[in-house]
Amino acid sequence: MSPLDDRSGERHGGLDRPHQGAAPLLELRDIRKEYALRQGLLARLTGRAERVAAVDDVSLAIQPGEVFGLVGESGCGKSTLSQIAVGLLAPSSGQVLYRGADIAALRGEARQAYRRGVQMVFQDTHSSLNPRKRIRRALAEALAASGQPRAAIPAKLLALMDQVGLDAVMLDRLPHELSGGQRQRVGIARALAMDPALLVADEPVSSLDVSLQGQIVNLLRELNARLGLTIVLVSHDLAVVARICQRIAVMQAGQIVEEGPPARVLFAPEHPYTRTLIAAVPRGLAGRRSTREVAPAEA
Amino acid sequence: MSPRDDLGVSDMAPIPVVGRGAPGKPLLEIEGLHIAFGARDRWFEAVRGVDLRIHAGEVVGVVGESGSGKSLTALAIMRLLPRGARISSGRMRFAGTDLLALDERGMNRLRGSAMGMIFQDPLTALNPALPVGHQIADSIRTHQGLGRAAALARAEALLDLVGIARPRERLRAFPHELSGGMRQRVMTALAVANDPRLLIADEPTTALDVTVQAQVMAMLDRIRRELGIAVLFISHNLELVAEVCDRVAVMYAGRVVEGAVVEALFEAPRHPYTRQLLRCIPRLNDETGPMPTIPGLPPRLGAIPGGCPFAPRCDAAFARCTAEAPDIWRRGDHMARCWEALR
Ligand SMILES: Nc1ncnc2c1ncn2[C@@H]1O[C@H](COP(=O)(O)OP(=O)(O)OP(=O)(O)O)[C@@H](O)[C@H]1O
Ligand SMILES: Nc1ncnc2c1ncn2[C@@H]1O[C@H](COP(=O)(O)OP(=O)(O)OP(=O)(O)O)[C@@H](O)[C@H]1O
Ligand code: SF4
Ligand SMILES: [Mg+2]
Ligand SMILES: [Mg+2]
Repeated sequence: MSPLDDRSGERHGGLDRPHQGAAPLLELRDIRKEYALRQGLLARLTGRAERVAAVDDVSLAIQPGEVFGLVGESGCGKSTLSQIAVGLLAPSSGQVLYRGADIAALRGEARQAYRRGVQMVFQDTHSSLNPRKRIRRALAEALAASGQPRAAIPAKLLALMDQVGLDAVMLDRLPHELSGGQRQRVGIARALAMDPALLVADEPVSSLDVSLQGQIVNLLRELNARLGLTIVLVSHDLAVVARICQRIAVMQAGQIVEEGPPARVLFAPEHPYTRTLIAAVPRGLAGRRSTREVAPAEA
Repeated sequence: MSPRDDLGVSDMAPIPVVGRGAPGKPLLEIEGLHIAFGARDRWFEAVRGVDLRIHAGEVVGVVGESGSGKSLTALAIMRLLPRGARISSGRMRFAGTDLLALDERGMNRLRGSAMGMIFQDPLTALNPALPVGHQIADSIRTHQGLGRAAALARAEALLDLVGIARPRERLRAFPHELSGGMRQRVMTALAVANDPRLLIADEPTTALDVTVQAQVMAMLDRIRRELGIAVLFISHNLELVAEVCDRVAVMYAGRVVEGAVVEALFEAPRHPYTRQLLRCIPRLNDETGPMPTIPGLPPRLGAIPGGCPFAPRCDAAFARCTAEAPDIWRRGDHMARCWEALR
């Protein structure tokens, strides 16, 4: 049974609902990704160019129906790991298993099923969108690829736009004719159009105003609760992660340093890095430095 | 001759280090800025009359709805609007210079030196074919006339300032070899490389974790205090805006709908959009229910109805709101475009 058939009803946040026991939908085993560091001529000539691990032996199991959060230091390997999970990037070593099968060995029909079933929302909003394709075409192609009958596509397009809070007039725009947050929402709509079983969303709400952030987060919650959509959410926004994730992992320098339910990781952190992170969350007016001089102002 | 001499503003130096809303002439003054898009006979306005003033040493926040014209306003100041867009009316003065009267040569001297910008989308702003260190060093050489080695050394120091580990090696990295947050910090390094007088920061921390974000903000605060840099800070992160800005402008549908000093804006907002927006701020707590939102969509550009553009979504709207465009309410330095505030 596919997780999309698993209409297990409302599952508010699901914090109390462990997923142990079930076979993981996606499993990462000892994933490592190395890059050569660009160094001076001498290092290159002597062949001693150093390699750095962007992802350093990460293992993770994503259970069907869960919302999994990935947070951590800028540059710690979250996007690299995400791209490995969706098969866009090959790991230097380690395995990715989708429904129990190694994706490197998938062929034909099975490979197609993985390609369709696992979708990504890119951190860089240009990555998923062809600059010369109007939004209508980009989304229609995704809908067609997911097996939607032609006749159903126009109505589906409107429904998708509505879900991500975009006016239907934007369908006739090119990606560069949208604001940053509008383009980000097209990226979300495109991934959802494929009707995936697993959505890997890399900073999907970072360019949205807080009202739209709420709308997208609520949409993801609802898709998770109603259709059992499994979600990996990469985000720097700890408040958003705390709100919808059942489990989170904190990454630093290519490794997972702490993992568990948000109630534990965010409110009783054990690792010093997690504590540093939480201490640095902006606190609004309360966080203003008292040293700032106060002088008369004008609007 | 330094580029600032060309502008005829060298007599203004040294720049006094001042706090918020200091008296005297603003460094940047925008009045009635309108930006229109279109081809042939179909034009629509995306920015419909924006007024902004920033003094040296001040941080002015711009927040508001996605698509409300924040980036277009920023790009207009740099005179870098996308093709198809034009400034249909308005005035912009920077350090006594009329930006709209300046020729392309004059603008080129300003960009990257007296005015630095952190673009919302670093990937399109950086050259994909050049190592990032070269891009920063090139800008330093052009604007400060330093030699190659000195410029690279300064570029390395800048990468270190924005918290990029192993800055010497990273100088050689191409943009696609960096993480989203590293690219964003390279943009920041580039924007401050030539000690600008005005820094326009369009969503400069969206790809940064909160610790690196704090480090970058501290760096910006330091150069603000030391050099008297003025910062236009565009962000959706309202908690951060409340922490770092002196004054804040809230935009909706191409206009500033509320403007105030930061405490007044967050503690006593007068515009219903601001109030409803503040209610949506996600807080780190153990709530798991749906997040609050403002129901409805912003108006369609080019088809903005008469009356108040926020009326269909406003929880305080009354009859007059749909009939007449709201007048401006003012109390001291606090303004709001709203009939309810005027009642
Ligand atoms: N093509 C590449 N060549 C060399 N190094 C790379 C390449 N792609 C990524 N890296 C390096 O891998 C590390 C991890 O990058 P990644 O984009 O995964 O970080 P991230 O956790 O997503 O960070 P952010 O929060 O800033 O987006 C970084 O040090 C980056 O410079
Ligand atoms: N090239 C273009 N052609 C047509 N419309 C455009 C173009 N560029 C921007 N727009 C429209 O102008 C409006 C303002 O865009 P702008 O990028 O200034 O928004 P923003 O306030 O920065 O939003 P965000 O917070 O999402 O970045 C948007 O509604 C956008 O769709
Ligand atoms: S003018 Fe009326 S509709 Fe507009 S914000 Fe004020 S109360 Fe709401
Ligand atoms: Mg990333
Ligand atoms: Mg923008």
